[in-house]
Amino acid sequence: MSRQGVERMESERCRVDEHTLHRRLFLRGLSGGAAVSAGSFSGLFVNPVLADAAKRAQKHCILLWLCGAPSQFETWDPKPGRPSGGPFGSIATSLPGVHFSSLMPQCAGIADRLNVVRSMKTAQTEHLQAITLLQQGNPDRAGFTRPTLGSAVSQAVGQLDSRLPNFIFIDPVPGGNEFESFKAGNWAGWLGAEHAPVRIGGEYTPLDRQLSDAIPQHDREARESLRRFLTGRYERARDSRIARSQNAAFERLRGMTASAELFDLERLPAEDRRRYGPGSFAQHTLLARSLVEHGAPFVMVANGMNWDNHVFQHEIHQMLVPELDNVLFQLITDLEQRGLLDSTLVIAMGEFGRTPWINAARGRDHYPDAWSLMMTGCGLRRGVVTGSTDEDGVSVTDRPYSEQNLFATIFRALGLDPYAEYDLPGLPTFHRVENEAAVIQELLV
Amino acid sequence: MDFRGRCCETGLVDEAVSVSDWCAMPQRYWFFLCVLPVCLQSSAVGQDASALWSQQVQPLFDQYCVKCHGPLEQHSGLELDTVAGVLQGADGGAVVVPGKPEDSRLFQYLAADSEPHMPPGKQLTQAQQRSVQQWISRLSQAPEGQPVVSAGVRSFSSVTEAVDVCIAEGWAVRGVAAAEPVSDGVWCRRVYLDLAGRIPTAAELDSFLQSPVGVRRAELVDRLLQSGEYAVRMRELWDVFLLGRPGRNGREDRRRQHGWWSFLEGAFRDNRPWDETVRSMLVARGDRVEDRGASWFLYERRNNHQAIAEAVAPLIYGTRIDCAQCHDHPLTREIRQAHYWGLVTAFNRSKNVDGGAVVAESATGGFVNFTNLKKESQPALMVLLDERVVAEVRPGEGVKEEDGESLYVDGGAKQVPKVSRREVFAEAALTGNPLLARAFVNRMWSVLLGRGLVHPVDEMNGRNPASHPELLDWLSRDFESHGYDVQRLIRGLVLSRVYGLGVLSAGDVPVSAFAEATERPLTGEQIARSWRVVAGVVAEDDGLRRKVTGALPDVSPREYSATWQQAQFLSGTEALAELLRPEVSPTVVRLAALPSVEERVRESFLAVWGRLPDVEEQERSEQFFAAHAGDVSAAVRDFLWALMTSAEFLTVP
Repeated sequence: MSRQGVERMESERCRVDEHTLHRRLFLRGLSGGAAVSAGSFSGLFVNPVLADAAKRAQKHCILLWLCGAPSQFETWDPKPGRPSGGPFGSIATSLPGVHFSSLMPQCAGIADRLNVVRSMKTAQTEHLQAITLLQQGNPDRAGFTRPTLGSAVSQAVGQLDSRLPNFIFIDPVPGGNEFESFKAGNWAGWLGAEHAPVRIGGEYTPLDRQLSDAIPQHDREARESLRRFLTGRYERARDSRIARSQNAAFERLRGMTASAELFDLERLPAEDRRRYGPGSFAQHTLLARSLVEHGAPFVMVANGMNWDNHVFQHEIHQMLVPELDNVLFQLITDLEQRGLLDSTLVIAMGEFGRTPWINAARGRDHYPDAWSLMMTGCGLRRGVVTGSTDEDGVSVTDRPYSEQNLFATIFRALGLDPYAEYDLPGLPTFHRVENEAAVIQELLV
Repeated sequence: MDFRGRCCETGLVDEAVSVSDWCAMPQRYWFFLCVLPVCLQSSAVGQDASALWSQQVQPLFDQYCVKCHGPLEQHSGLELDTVAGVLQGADGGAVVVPGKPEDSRLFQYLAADSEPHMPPGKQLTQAQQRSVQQWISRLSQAPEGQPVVSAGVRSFSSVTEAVDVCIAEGWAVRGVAAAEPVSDGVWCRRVYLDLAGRIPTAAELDSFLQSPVGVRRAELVDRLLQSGEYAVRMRELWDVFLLGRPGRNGREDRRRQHGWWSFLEGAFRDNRPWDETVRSMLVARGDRVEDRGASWFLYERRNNHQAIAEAVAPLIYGTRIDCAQCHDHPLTREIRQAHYWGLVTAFNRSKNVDGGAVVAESATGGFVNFTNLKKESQPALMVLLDERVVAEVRPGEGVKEEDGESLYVDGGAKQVPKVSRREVFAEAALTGNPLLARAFVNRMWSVLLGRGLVHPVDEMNGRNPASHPELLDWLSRDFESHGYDVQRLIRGLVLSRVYGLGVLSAGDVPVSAFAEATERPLTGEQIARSWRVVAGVVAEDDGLRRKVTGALPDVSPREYSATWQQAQFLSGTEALAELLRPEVSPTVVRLAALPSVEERVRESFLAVWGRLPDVEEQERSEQFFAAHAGDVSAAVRDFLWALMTSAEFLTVP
């Protein structure tokens, strides 16, 4: 629907003066000091002063989307010795009195830099509805498609002239059952296609130069240059909206093609790749860090729906959780070292938790009544563990939080007004978070 | 059976909904018109007030006031969605004194320090307050009526005459000058695209330009309307209008398999009266040959009766009614919940039979109640938009209807009841319903002229007046009285002077004046076929069509918006590379064999754009070839590629 429906939120974008200047110069096609052509996206970041200022002001979010849902018992809220506890036991963390699952020794070591919410309590037990709920942060309203978190953040903190897409979604897995359905759906909702994610990972990396081997790159560039000349004249001669829109789309493509190497795993430092570990999820999280370093506002990393262990839960979690543990450790410590943790919100969660009891196939089933997630970074304190569940993890005993509380907290942490209205002519009134649901105050700085 | 609208069930929805103008486009165009005040009536005091109301004040009230002072709620008894409502005032008395904004509470309450202050919790800007002030000061005592209508109903001798006369009058009233007509060559290309779904070949263009001047246009149109390509082109349009793009998962194949495409193509090829075609879709029984495949219109929606109702409304009423699921339409009073649920009721006895495209219908059941946001419940009757009710015997409370073979025409199969809601409803909706003709006329007008006489095209309700009401009325009556003859209407439109206009060089002329050709992007199908024409490839290529429509799915979009993924497709798709290989394309071979670069450039422009290059284009193009002196075929390919993905190619000329 409305691509123009963002006026009410304009004031939250790009407040830094240098960045405002930067955008204005770009839009006027001036060079801003360095002799670069305004048509070249990569040229925009040549001027170091402007580039730095823009980078400093930019907020980021990395969402590690553990689709299928990890078990809170084998991660953040262990119940050792209880029937629901499972075989892995717990270990002490760097936070006095706080224990994580023994499968997470590295995160235990940096627990003072993390925050955990143990009292998530949501209403959806099935994957598609729960994924939708935890991606949109509010219950569905029939007939209207709410934007997902990435699209909402893309619209709010993303930048017109960035060389990277505002919302990057990394998932190499084509399928994923209900997650596949979700992936095929409309992520940007009423914000419009420009806030839909760019999907990369595996065969989805779109800027593959081998797209058409038969045609060398320089030929494509020559073609594009001629197309631009011709369509530019047409646009000016007829004041053509269609031509204008097309030229803008081709410009965007040029910008992204110029950044193609940023999506190439091979270009990441070998030592970093070794540290994060083998496997798509680990490598893509490293890629997410790298993209954030280059200014990407929102990166979501998923790996199909592999956490949904209704069968052999312990066996599979025994493989998945240590990997997650290492990946989180590397990511958080890397961001900290690079001075990016204060401007990057990191969230690791699934769409619900898993049952305290084991089913006949030695698995845990879906459990939205009491589950955990981890979030830290931008706008949040460090080392806070909030909410609690009873001794078996069956229900929340203290501070139940819904997806709306979660999203209110996420927006607030990123410096956005959670209750701002979307400006959508012709649609009912929608807010980022409905019902003025409270933030999780104890997490916020 | 109590049936709540789904959106009410969440329990987390506000009681009332914030409303603003339903369509974004008039808001944008009213901004244009602030600069050029438009006088739509012929001379009464208050004419500026009418324009101010529809362009500035009404959209403002829609967004900030109508939620509490409108069709849904009337706080203090005040309604602000119509001028009549404003003039009527509130319980406590008048809120405007026409001509005197300072004495009008409506204006006074907008001030920042006013007590009481409106709207509560928000503040209108100075500019917005000024709009209201100006409007009040130009109001006359009498309630605003419709634009002045002439005493009698005018008659015109043809569709073409009606179009040309009425639109030209509109130019005079608006004080705008129309663009020059396009040349015959451009006209030919335009008509081929609109009626055959592709650009003409060089031979076809040549043949047209050689034929006798006075009759060539009519002859071409008649010939194209008889061609198989016309039927396919119309099917391509209406398949999307009626069912949307098929998307993934083999839906397109199923549409074809179950005869939906054949049904549509047959309807246009044989020029079936439009009301008959619609009847086939609504009744959805494949008894006659020409009806087979029609049931897919219902079947594809998989028993989602609400989705069916929402699809049928624009077809028979010209307006979407989705808003009226949970409450009466918040902006336009003539659309109420009862109408929405009335449509649902017409179809909710229907059920798909697996394995084919048969939509069975029960003889009993389907009596529902609906609730509004205030939880008030009422039974759903088959109410049409003009308030006619299709009568039915409703069983008493708690009485269970007896189903039985005797109630069906087919005995045990129980798929065709003796009394069929679908048939009865279709009969009511297709006879004595002028909206059916209006909807079709408006839709075809928008396809051919780039924008409906009512805009948006599927919002023909009280909120959106027609830009040329007399013309729309006449065309609709004419269409209906000539047996809903589709080809006749299209022929008349395409042969009008208005259709053949070019582009104005400058100025902010409102689109609704139709003083110049409105920009129209090509559909994916038109692009694929036209690419093949350029390449000189004759054979059908469904693969190419699928790829292009997959990347460029929009048909008549409300707002054109190119994405970078589309740019990526256009800049590098294998499909186009393949098409332009010398082994495949005679055109590439011919162009590469030309002796001079100068000629190569000229011939390429002719082949792709149907015109010669101007001086600057010629120079730049020759530079292009100079820089790619190596492989001539590759250079030709890339040159053609640039032309074939430029805006000039991807737009209707």
